Amino acid sequence: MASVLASLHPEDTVYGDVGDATVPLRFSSFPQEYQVLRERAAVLDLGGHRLIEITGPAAVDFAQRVLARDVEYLTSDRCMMSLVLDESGQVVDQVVAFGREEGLLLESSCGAGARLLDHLLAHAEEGAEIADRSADLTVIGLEGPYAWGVVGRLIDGELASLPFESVVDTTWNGVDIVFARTGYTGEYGYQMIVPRQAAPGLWAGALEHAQAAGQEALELAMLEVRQPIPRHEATPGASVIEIGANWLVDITKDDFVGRAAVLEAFETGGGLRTVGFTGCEGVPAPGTRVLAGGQDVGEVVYAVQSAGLGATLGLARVDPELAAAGLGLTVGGVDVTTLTSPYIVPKSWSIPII
Amino acid sequence: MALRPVVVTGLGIICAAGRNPEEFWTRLTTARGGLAPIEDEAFAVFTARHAGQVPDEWIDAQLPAGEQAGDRTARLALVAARQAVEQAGVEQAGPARAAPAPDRFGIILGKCQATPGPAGRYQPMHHTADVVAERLGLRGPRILVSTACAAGGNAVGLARDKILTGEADAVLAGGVDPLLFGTYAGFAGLQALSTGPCRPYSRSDGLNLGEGAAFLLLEPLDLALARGVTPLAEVAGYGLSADAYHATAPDPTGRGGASAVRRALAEAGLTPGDVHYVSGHGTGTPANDAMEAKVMRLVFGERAARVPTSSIKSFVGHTLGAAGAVEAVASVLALRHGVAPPTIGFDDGAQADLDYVPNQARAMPIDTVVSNNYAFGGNNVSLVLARPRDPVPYEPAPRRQAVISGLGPVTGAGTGIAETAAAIAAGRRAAGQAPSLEGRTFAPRSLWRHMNRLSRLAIAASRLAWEDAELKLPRKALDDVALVFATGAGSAESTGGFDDSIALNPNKPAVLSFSNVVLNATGGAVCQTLGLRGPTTTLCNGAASASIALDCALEMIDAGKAEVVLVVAADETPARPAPGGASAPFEDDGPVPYGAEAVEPVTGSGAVAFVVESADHCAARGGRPYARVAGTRHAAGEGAEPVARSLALPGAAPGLVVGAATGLPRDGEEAAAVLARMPGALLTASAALIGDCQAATGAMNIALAALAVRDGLAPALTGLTAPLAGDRGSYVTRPELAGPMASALALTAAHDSVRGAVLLEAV
Repeated sequence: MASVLASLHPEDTVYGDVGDATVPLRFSSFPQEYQVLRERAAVLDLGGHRLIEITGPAAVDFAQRVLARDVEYLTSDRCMMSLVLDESGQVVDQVVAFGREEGLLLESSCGAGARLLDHLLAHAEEGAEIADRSADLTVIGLEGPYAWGVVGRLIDGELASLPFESVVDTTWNGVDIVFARTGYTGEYGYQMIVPRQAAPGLWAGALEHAQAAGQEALELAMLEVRQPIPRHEATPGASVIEIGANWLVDITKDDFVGRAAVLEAFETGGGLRTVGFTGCEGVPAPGTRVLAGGQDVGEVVYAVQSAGLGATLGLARVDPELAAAGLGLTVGGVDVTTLTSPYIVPKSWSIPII
Repeated sequence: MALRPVVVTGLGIICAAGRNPEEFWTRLTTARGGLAPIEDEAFAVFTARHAGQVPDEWIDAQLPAGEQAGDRTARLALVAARQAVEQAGVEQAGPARAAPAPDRFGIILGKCQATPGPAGRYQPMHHTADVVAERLGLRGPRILVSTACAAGGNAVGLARDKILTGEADAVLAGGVDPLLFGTYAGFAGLQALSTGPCRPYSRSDGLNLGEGAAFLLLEPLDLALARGVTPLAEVAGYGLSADAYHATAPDPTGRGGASAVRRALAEAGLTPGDVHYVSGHGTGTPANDAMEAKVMRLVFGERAARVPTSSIKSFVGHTLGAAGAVEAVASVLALRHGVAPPTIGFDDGAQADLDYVPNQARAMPIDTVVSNNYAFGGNNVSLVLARPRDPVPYEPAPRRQAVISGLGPVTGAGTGIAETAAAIAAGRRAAGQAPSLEGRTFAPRSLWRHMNRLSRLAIAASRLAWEDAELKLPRKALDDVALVFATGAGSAESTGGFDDSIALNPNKPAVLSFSNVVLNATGGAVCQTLGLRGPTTTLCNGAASASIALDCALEMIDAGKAEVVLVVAADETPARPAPGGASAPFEDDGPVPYGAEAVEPVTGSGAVAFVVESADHCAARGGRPYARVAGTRHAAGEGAEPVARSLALPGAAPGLVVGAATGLPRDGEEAAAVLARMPGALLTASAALIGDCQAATGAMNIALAALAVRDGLAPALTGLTAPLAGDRGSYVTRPELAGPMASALALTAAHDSVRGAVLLEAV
């Protein structure tokens, strides 16, 4: 699946395949795009996020069964992030669920839409219609400490200070769009769900007030605030507790697909835990062993070079007692220190919306 | 044609910045504030010590020493109330200055806190209003409104409504709250107090609490002129709204506040361009001040910077339930004198893109003032006060047919109307039994698990009423759905938990409980959960709260402010320990209402919601209403006298009366009055089914009267052998009535305060 905006992006845009999607990894320079996101305001082409609509009389019951969090009363002015699990408690995807008047709209994570759709169809129930809306809708994001200013100039200043996870049906340039206050990076974040034919105009309009940032800058900024990125973190066999995504499930719900497995993981308390680390030279590969006092205690989930820290930043999955900040471990023979999240303090935390 | 103009003819105030309106205004215009460190050693435990206190001698010099001794709340209120009455000249009866008849002279009081009496125990919320009414001889509409810090302004708006409906010729509207240690500790625990005098709109580092009382005497312009008194200002309109956002924090977008201002201006027939000055809430907390700036920009747009807005809280502190009335008094004086009071303590170095009238009063033409208040629970109020006009021809306030279209009882007798009807049909009695919410969460779990018991009950009742009405409204329509919450005492669980935490350590208050101590917190939680952003208020007149709330709902529908109003009543007392464990049946169901053996009611907990809808709206969507609201009536006063007065509903000949009896000896007064006036009616009471659940029992009476009208079912007084009045033949002794009732009357009673009657008829 290619972005509807691809024809608008600069010729030298570097694309990459993420799951089932081909997405812009960087438009020009990764460090510059990262800096824009952390210092000013970035526009994001989220065309790799698939939109799946659930409607019909059983829509809410169905969504309540396939989503791990509580969406029974998700009204059309709210959205929330939730995991979608399979029966064994493995992560199928991490979605943003938007309440709608006639049901829900699910936004997949980048490149995971086909898998999500297959999973939903496999669990389909009578009375719940499942429709892939990606042929007529796409998503454009805004992220950054001054993203709220872009919202004011682009659409309406009243929308900028919406509470987190609020949704408004509004118009841009006469086109109906769904506007949401969300955020992946700890900065002020917004998403606009827009008809594909209007997307180029909205993208161009947004670029008048902000600069585009690609998937690489976005994912680094997500990691820096420990926003889960399922394609890197949901490794085969890992439970939601091992991944550290407990907050994306609600075991007080009576039932949902995968609940029994999650409950068992909670009750047994076994397995590893995920913790951030920094300190080593270079970027260790996923699976690199992690040692503590010479003992093998786990492995690297993934790591990158963090522009915010000016150092390597990674996630390690280790024995539970070692998943704490400030401990010295060894990764590939090099000393690292474990961290508490967020690993950088977003600028938005000290900038009020005016 | 315009509605009858309602004007202010008397002002009264006592607060840290003055003991009467003259002194208050002099100090406002000469920038002499009244904030000072609290000298009471008990407060030495707190870092923040500044507050707006009223010197005792200011009160003592204006009241006889013995009058309401030990009840500072009542004494503050009496001082201000007498000043307002005196200025309006309504006590000076004579040919030229006819005083309003006592039955047509009301009081609507705003109050945020439950306040202690001389013995230190909490008084009923409405007690202060009762004291003032009794001292001044007021027997007209009597309402205690408790929308926390918006209550004082809300009271002025409700008073206007009572004059427009024709129920009153004069209403004393105001607010009162004393400085209480517990409340101080609560605000300190929320980190909301400034360590020095507060500095709204510039430093915004926290608020100072204050105390005081303020009243405005409202009457129709034509009556004021006929009495030969000078109208000081017209109460041109008011607007209420719910943020539906958070228990304590304001909606950061300012949507809720802006919506209240827009509604107020619409009611006044004015536009933002007509506004000359805005009296802001201006507490000095960062969240409030930032939100208010957004309200100014949303409402006034490009003009925002040119509309002076100031806060007088740096003069008097935040007087909570009195604040809206204190600021309304200041606004009336601003109109009269053509001077905008300043925001004192304003940091001259602060960058401000709005005109906060910093530090110096400003003479300017002022014909229209908007006065705003924003409260815990997400309740907002905006008042529009205008220079009085010349008398104009006016038309009576419009009346619209309204129906009750959904019922949501949550009591020991059942959760939802189906379970309740089954319990009635089976002749079950459940007095004192705790309602069950097992098996269903009625709100998103992330909210539900942090909610106190009363909020859960009220939310369950609201959702069940909504579902029973089969209302399916899109998000946009919910922005105009109104909510009126009725409660006698609010959450006993949160109040108790908070008080216990203060007793242990005033510096470690249970802040979550504190946010639920305000009486409107439960109503706010309902709005937040159901996403209702229409007009909202909270009324606290004991067991009469629900019928007064229904009145308020009808006024909203009449005035076109809402097509759908959810009325929710809830109260709680600790459940009776069952003799053999929680699941064991009760052997003693308590006294039978109207029975000669009745000594004391069985108290309980419950929430009852009903949907009130304009008949047009209900018909247009194909709803199936229970009953039409044919009339309501309230009578205030002590003793048995108001009982008969409350029953004097024109044309009422109900087949069934669901009475306010709870199992007290004085139930006989009501039975005798009903049997005398309505000899053809059968009498019953919902307390037979659920016991005395205060406001919820009053609401249950209305709900069960509606059920009887549509479905011909009513709770039987099983076990009634010797009635206090009449014989058994006058009472419901089996649940199936002869059939659906053509009309039924529901009664409510806050004894020695106010009684209500609601007449329902078949649609």
